[in-house]
Amino acid sequence: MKKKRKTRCFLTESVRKTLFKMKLLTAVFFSCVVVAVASDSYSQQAKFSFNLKNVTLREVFDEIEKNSEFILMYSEADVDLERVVCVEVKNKNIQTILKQLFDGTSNAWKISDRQIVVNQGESKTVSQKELLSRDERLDDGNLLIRGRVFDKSEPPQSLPGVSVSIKNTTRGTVTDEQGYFKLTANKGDILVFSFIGYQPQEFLVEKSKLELIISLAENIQNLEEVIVTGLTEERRLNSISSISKLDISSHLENKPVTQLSQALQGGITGLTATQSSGIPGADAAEIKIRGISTLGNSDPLILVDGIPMDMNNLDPTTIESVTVLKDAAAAAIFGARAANGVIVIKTKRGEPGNVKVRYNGYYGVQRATYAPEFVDGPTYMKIINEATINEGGDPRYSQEAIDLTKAGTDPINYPNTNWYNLLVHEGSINSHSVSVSGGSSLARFSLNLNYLGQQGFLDNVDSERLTLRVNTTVTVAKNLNVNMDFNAYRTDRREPLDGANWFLNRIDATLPTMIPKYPDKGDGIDYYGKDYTSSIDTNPMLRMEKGGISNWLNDNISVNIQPKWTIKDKLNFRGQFSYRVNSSITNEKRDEFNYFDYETGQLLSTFKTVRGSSQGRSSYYFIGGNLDYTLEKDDHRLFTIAGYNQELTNSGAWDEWSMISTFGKLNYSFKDKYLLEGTLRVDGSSRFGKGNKFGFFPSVGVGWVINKESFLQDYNWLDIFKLRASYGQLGNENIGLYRYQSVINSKTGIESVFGNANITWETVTMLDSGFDLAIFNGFAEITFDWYDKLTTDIIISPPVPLSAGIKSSPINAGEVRNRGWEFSVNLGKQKKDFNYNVHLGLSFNKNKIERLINGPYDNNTSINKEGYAINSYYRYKTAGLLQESDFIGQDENGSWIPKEGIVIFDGQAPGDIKYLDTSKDGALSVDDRTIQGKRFPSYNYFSNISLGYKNFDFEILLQGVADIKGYYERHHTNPIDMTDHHTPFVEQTDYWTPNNTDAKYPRLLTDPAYNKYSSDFWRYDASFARVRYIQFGYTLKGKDSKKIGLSRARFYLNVQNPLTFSSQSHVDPESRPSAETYPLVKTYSIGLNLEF
Amino acid sequence: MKSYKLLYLLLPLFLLFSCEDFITRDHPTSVTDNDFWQTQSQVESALGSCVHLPYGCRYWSTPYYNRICFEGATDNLYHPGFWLRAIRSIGNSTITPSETQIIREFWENRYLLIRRCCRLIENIDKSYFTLEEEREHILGEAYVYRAMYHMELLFYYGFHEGVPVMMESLSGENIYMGRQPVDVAADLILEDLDKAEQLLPFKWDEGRSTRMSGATAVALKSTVNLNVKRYAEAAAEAKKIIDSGMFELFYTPSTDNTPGKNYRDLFYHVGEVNNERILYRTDGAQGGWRLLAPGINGAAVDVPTRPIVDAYETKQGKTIFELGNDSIEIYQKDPLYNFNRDPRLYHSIMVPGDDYSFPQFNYKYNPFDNSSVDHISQGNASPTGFVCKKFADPLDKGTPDFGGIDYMIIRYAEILLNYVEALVESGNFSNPDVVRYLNEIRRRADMPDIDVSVYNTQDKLRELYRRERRIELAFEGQRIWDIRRWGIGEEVMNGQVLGAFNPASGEFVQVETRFYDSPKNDQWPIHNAEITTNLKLKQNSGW
Repeated sequence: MKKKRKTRCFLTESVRKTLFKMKLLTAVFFSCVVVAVASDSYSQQAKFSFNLKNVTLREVFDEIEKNSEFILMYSEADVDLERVVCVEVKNKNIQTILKQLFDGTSNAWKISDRQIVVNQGESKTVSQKELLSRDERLDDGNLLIRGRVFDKSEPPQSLPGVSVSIKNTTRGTVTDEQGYFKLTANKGDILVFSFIGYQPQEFLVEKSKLELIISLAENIQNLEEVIVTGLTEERRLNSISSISKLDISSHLENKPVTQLSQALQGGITGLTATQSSGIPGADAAEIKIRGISTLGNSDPLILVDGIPMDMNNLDPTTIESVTVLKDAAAAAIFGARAANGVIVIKTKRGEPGNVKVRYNGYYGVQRATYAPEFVDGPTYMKIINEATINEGGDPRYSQEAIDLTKAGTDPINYPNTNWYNLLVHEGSINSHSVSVSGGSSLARFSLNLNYLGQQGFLDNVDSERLTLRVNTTVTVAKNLNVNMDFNAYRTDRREPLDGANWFLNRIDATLPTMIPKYPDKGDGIDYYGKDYTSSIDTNPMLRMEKGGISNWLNDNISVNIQPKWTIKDKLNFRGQFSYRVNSSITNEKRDEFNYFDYETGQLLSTFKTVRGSSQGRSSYYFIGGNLDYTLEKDDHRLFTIAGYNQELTNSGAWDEWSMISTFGKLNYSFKDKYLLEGTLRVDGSSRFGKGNKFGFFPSVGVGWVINKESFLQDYNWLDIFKLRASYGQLGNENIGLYRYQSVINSKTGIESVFGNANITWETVTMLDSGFDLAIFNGFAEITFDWYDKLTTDIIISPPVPLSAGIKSSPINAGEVRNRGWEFSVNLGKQKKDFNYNVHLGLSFNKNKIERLINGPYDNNTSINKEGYAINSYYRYKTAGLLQESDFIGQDENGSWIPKEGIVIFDGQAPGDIKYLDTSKDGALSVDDRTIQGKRFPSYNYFSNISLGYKNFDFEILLQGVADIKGYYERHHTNPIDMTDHHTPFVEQTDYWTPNNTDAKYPRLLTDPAYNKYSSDFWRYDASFARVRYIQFGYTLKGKDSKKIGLSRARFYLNVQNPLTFSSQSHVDPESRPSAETYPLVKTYSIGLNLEF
Repeated sequence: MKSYKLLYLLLPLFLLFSCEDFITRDHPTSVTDNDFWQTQSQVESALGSCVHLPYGCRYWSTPYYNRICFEGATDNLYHPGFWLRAIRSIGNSTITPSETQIIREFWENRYLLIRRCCRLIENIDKSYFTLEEEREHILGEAYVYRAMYHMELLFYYGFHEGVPVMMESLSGENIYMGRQPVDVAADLILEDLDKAEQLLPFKWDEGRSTRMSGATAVALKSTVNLNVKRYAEAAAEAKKIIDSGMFELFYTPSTDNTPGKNYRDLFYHVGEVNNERILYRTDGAQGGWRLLAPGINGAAVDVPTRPIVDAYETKQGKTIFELGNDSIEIYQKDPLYNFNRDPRLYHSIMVPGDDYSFPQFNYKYNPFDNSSVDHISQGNASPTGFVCKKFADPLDKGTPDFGGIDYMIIRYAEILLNYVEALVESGNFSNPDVVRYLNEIRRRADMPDIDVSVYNTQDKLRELYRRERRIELAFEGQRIWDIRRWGIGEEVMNGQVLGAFNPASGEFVQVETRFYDSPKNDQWPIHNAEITTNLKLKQNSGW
């Protein structure tokens, strides 16, 4: 390898990059000299005056590059740089100079744009034959390889001057002006394509592939990377906004993530993703960005390739990037829908290159994160007896029955069933993805097919999904590029007719003393045990086997067409048309079943035949266009964009929702140092009535890249230090349809919507300031943001009295503030065999209602009140359990009389919950409730660590929340409660008795009426830290993988949700179930990635 | 360059082109009040949306108003069913103001329906009617419904303190209603019923017999007056119905010799169409079979208690307590003894050892046989050892959930009993009508006439009409109001709930301990969701 040589030219860095993708000169052994010229006109117009005598050609080249925008490209083997020349010109163009320099030599030159290529000239160009003859080692096995090299921009630009060498030899070539190359090599040789500013790429020579298309990816420093912001892309360096990018490789690739929303857990500061159910096919996480700014729907806007849609049915393997726009500056361009933040998703597109086939697959088994442990039959009988005696009844079970149940000798008459173990089993998941991609400068394509299958914990709970995405890009003309994307998926989900959650509830609620199914009598009839907790036949075994099945089928097809027309240099028009149809159908099926009594053979009841189906559909279109223009002059750069779009959804029985929007944005930077941005958007929405339809959303932002200041020039270790601030307004129009109308059913006259004609947008006014810091050549990146987000005109439907006979109608009722900060650190180092990366994030958010018209709004167990967080818990305050020492004694009816100063509800006795009379009025009532904590966490944190050593890689993600309260609900409270029957959990046997006064649970009552009040007795700290996954992988590449016929292979083991750290072990702190929640899953999987 | 700038300026114009029409999308299938209220058929369906009559025993739909279950909160019945367990909590006074099932949903449902009635009354004049008298009929019905719902609310929630009364569909700040005292509420209810009486035919023909009639309005007036102790008015309204001659006690066409067959068949399919009913719900007693024991495919949702079994007289017209101690013990331990009790007992309740109720199925009720699915400890079995069999026609055995007869909400016998009670309580107990109508009811049940040598004072006649009313109208949803009106809650609803005599233990079955405080428990609590949102309404005293 010869010494690399760097050109000097006086193009600004950004210009060089954006125009030519050629920041730095190549330095290669077979090199050409290339000089870049802006255009023909530039080469004509640029005038030079030189007076250089007895200088080397090298010095002349340097002078030219220093004083012009030209870049010279050449191979040192072809050009004698040490040749001494003289150049004396005055005000002449470059052609004249080159003529002087090379006339009479063997060298030829050519100018294209600002690029000057100097080579051997026609006669001296090394022919393939000559090349062959020069190399003595060549034998008959050599192959002629032709190809072309592109970059990965859209449309792809050919890359001239790329060095193509054969690894471990001195042989090679350089691509010509159009990026073409030819080379001979042996089968098994490895070609190395390298170009400064791009990541080198290797290619193994095979007989089957002699025509190559290679595309090189730019070598991008983290802060120089381009961020997709929906309508535009911008360099992270120039960004003023608070934007976070999801690390796709950590969160999506090779993880058994069934829904994209789950993958957002941990990895982005300021974002909370909470999963509340693990039902296959219905296990999406709920996403909140920077707190709850509205009482209505606070889901962020999700844009996939520019189109609002549900992210959860995307095949995770097709995702190219996920960007979260958090502040007003970033999101303002989405106006009325951006108040809850915006998530911009881009799917993978084809790249120029030979056709590549990849396979990704995994198989995993799944278990519940938390499994309930129930008491056995005899314990249950004892508990019920105790409760009925406490209430003045006879014991329900005789001691004999209890003993027989315990002995287990007569399982038919004295069964002892563990319903959980009987019905719940392991689940499984498997996914297979095949992608085919490739293309040339004319067209690129990427085709992805994915199958995802899941078996739930219960029989008949399963889900299958098939996703097909074809992304095609066609370069219609040099300045017209069209993306044509097609996406289709089908989900096929099954649950028992009663629903998976029903079974989980029944597993809790069915007596352990009930037999699931009787032994076969030989009469061909299935006999099932009877249930007395309800007068309908709720034996879960019976329902599972005979209760029928619901089947959901959902088909969704969308096309997305995006032309990009470069009208003139730096002036682009982008259009977008998207169309989507969705169809869903449910089938319910049950066969007639006669349910007979085992003993008497009597017909107990009949499950009637069910053959039902219902359908849903929706269609959606989006059409829009925008113009952008970039003006660059001297140190100034101005980017402007303006556009218009409209969209219409028609779903269900003609429910329509439409929007029209127009927007403009101006982004100015001076010397890449001072940044200024302004955005304006006007939206009109059909959700509001006349006079309230249009909303107006401006924003401004400023940034200062301090490290570009001269006083920091000497600090080489400082890569980026940028301060930024933004201020702007966003909207939220996300309320139900027709809420401005009061409507009645056209047939019955029943009032269906209680409207408010004056209802209008919620407006979020957000101030954000922060900094980005990158140091030690990309070793560490630190980002900090502080924000203050005030939602005004918050839409709320205040609770109305039950006696009003009307439902609530929405009003613009007040103001909510979210204030917080976000901090993230990314540390990483790549060494030869070893690399590591540590990504840490911490965010804090405080939510507070500032103003509430006619407030507070009391929702019984929660309240909205000025000065407190939205939906704060509003419950009784307690002080443990009442003890006998709290009472004077009993009266003649058996009622307990409390001591002075102790206030009880009528009928309370020792062992009941001791409520506090906080209102000090001498009686317990709803007035004694107090605000008891908030529903959403203050702190969110994560830590993602990845390590790589040679072919091995290891990764772990820890995520958690802190400062949040949870409350045990329903089955997790009182050990028994016949009004909401359930079998006690083992830990609920620690209930109060006169001998166990220090118990965790109150005394036993079949209807623990007063012990059921929502109170802080049932409160727990819902903070938790969860290891989201641990992954261990091994990669085989290069020659090793070729041995098995692959260009790359990776094998990995993954565990999702293996560990949870929480202050209590009773319930899952994330999903916080009440009773019938399908649990979250732990997945143990093995996976394989293959590249052919 | 300038031309591009011009283009930018043009862009916002797009917005102006796409006029506001594009973003105007009104509700596709609903209409506003301006579009509705045009035709008679619209008003008819609007009336349909005002209707919700109580069921007898079908108990699994909101607002869960079924009167047999409701009686589970009285000394007649105990409610072991797991569904609607709030009933049991009402019975033993552990109900809380946050109970969602009955307390909340019944209240919410009734006011919702009242609002619909108000809207109909306010808008009916806008519509065109082909038959002008139908306008009056529909209006009259709406008044009856509104009055009846208010009456129910008053009796369940506001027996002493009153309830909010909604006489127009409210909006804005007016939706926060305060309480109307009992007298005012009663006046408003009676006002509606008076109007209805004027507008409606006194009795509909059979084809339209499910509609609200003038007689229904009058009957309700009698009930309202009786409960607010306006006895003269109560008697007068009841008398109107008696004097109309349009109603009579039912006598069965069945030709068997079973004593009390008239009473039995009144609750069977054979007696479904009769001249005794004043207001009924079609198929309202469906699910009546579910009240039976599991051994005969029932689920014993509401089960009788010892006090009501003991309340039935002997065939000779004596209470068991008038007999010697030995006899009391015999009848208490074996109500079946010699079949010597009021026949209505055997047609309303299955007692231990019953093998006569369903001989066609070879069924015998054995709650103390350890091997029987009917054993008191078994799932779905009656924990008291008694089973409610009124409304269970053997024809319905195959369809325990859905078979069933119409359920009478107001019947002529009740009006007679209202009349008698009003006479006795207003001091007019020597009026011959008292004995006359009580005897009519007793004769129909094959019971002997009243022994006027014993029942000849106000106190004795009070004792008698109360017993007669309890027996005749057992499980028909009256007991809960009777207890309140008579002020006997603390007396009958306190202490141990007992069932049948258990020969194995030698004791009466113990079920639970009940507590009752008057006046607190004479009113259900108002749900907290109302109290916390409506600051004009304070919780009922004691709750």
